[in-house]
Amino acid sequence: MRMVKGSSVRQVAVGLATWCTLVGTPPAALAQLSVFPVRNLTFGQVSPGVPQVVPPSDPTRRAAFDVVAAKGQYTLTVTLPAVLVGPGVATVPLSFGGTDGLFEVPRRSKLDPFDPRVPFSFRLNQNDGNAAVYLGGTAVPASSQRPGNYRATLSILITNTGV
Amino acid sequence: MKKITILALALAVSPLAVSAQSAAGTVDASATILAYLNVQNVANLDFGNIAAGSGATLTPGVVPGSGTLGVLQINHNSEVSVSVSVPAALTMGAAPPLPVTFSCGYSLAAAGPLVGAAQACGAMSNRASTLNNGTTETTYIQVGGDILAANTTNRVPGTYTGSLVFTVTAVY
Repeated sequence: MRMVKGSSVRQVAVGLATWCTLVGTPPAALAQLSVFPVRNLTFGQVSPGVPQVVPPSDPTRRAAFDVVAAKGQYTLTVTLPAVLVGPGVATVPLSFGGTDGLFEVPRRSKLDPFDPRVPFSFRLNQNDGNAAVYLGGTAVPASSQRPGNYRATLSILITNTGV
Repeated sequence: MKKITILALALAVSPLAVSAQSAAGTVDASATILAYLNVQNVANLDFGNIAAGSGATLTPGVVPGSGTLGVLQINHNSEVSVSVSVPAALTMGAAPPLPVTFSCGYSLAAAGPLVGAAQACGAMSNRASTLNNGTTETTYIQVGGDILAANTTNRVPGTYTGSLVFTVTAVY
């Protein structure tokens, strides 16, 4: 009976030690990192045959994300849709250029254009606080584009690559 | 007890695995492609000369022996709805109004057979886009009407006029 109790106590002790190791260490190594979608990319009403440009500096139509992250080095990757999908099988081609991305660190008044077609690296310092990612683009409807509402999704992925 | 310990560890580890060194977010991109729509008057509706005590009928889809059907041309690349403000009668100054019943119909040409049946101008059905691919197509509305013989008896002679106002709206 004693042996059973002793054995049980020992196992629990090992378990707690392991718990402390796993729970205690990682928070120091894992940087805080969150992405919050703020605004959709809105081309609005578009006439057939007339390209519609939304610059990343347009505060009402650009896509916007807030980034909350600790000090560190990060890589931003954007998944860009090739087309907007509309009624039936109709699509509107999209194009993105080398300055259709805009990265902002408000506390530093820092605005960096970037090419959303390729990964973008950035660094956040201790007191930078939040950052923001803005995306523009161009919708290129055909002259015989079928009227209607068109939609796609646009995603960003931010990865911590170092402290 | 051993099983319990292992289970506790598994639960403790799981949240850490979720705290990966990356975060993602998604938004929508959207656009509304406007429809192309153009409407023009091709011909006014004209009953011509009507003898007192005689009636006059102009039937959409039927080329008239005398008089002229009204015709509107609609260039569109989407379904359209048509609403019409229809006068109950034609007027001429202080003379008593001349009652008219109007009828309308869609066609593929300015003259000739209708697509579907003639209908009351004030309650027209929508006209669908037959191509449905954004290409502009042309639809005509032929406008006819009916003046009863009883309404031309003892009528003050002269030219009676009125206006039908067509409002065409792209539907998509």
